[in-house]
Amino acid sequence: MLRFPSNDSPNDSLDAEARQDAQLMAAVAKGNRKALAELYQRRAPVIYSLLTRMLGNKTEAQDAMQETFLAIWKRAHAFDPVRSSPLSWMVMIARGKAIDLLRSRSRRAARHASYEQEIASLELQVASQKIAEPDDLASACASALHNLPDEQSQALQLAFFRGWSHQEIAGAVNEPLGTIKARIRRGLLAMRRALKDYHA
Amino acid sequence: MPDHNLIEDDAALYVLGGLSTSERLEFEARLAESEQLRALVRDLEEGSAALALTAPPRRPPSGAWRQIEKSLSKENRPAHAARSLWIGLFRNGWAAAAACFVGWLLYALFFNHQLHPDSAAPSNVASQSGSAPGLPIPRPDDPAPSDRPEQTVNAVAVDGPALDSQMRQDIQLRHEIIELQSRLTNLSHSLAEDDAMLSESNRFKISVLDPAPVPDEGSNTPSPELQRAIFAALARQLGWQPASDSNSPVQFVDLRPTNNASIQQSPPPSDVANDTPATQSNPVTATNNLAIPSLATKDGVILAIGPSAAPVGSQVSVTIPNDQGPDTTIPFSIGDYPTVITVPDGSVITVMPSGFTVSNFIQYVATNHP
Repeated sequence: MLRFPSNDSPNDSLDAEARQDAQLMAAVAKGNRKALAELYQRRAPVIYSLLTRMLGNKTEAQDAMQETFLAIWKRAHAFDPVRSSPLSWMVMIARGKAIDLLRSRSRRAARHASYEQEIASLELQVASQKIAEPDDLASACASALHNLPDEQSQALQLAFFRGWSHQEIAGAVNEPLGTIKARIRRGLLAMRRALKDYHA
Repeated sequence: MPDHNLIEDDAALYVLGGLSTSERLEFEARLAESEQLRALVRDLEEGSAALALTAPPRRPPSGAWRQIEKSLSKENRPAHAARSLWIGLFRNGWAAAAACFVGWLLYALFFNHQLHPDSAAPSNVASQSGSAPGLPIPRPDDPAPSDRPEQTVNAVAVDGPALDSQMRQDIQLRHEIIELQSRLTNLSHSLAEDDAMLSESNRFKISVLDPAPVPDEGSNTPSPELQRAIFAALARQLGWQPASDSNSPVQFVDLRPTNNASIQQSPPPSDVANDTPATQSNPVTATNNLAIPSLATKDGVILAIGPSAAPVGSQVSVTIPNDQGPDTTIPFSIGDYPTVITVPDGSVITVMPSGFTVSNFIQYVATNHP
């Protein structure tokens, strides 16, 4: 089961899973390939699932995952456990790779029609996952996302999974930019709270 | 507090990679100053990770790790064979540019440190995209300056224009450092792409095996005769020169795990020896020059060694790795003219210059990885 550290006191809050990730990360930073292999065993499913969802293409997802783990290998020395949890650090790297690919496709346009299409695909994916994983942390996160107001959930997912800019979202839904910014920020913090509640 | 809200919104944009380069640099400067802001960014990143967990679970393809391992093998290179000078035109250009950036970065860091010996030193490396983590963060024991603009103004009012000027300089230098780090990251990506391109099987890579740079001894580049020898090897490899050319001033030896070859020094053809001034005109100065050129091919490494790399009579042993049994070690001594040896990837070449003790041996690892 995946677990996150709580965040109130970063130095004391690493739970066993995150501590183990951090230890592996430290070993990777020293050039230990076995540690990277173990990190892969532990976290590749999350990374690959994220990349598949973002890119919608298994081949591209696999390429991006490869780039992600190479980046982890190269940049592990820069990982600071006080500043980030290992998993969120890895997720941010993976997302960065996927966003680069999405942007290079140049197929996205902030038109209302594509907005509707994107929303439809995102909602379908969340719904299918709720059925597949009823009791674990992933399900708690999916539930937290589902419980957000629709407009907030949609803005958050478009920004995170599809790489839409805040301006693009504001234009697509005809809302002020400040409103979209606040929705996304509060949405991320709500997701963070869901993690905290799960561990409480 | 509208300004505070804007910072929070910027934090979310920063985490999602939505800030422009200048906005990101400005935000990172503020981030380095504010513990509160760092905590917010951490929360937002974990919120992002929670969002990532909502993705429908997928099992990675079975061959994915093997692909990563394969790429890692290309990435890795032994530390003592680290100095790799690409003689190709663009490669040298990138290397020079990288050296310039590193120089600027060091200068900026040094200058910043002189201005603020107690100020926070960036402990992390800025990422090239705003969406990825890795920012300059002050040490935990550093005083935490305020991130509120109005408090900054108050502080300036108390300490006067000198402090104001110093703080501006400090922020500007931080920006410059972050910008340089970002450019350096981009440059290293370009280098990685070059490496990937050069690792294609139909390309040759010429590099310099150098155990360690020696300070105060100037440039440690291979001698002209060794460079000529490696180009002769390249010509031979490309088929421009016959494999058995009795007039070649270079002895070619192919060492493989299975052929048990040995190296026997034989004198060069007399007419050629007279035309190769390098070994005769300058045999002494070369004793300090231990850099040897190498040519990486698809299935091995070709390296040139001769009296300009170590004195005549120096002992050399080539250890060829063997996964199936014990390693093969082939000894020889350096003769009067260059020897070009072809060895499998991963071979270790140990040079014991004459007059040196055994503990002063020099090792090179021949690798065809970029």
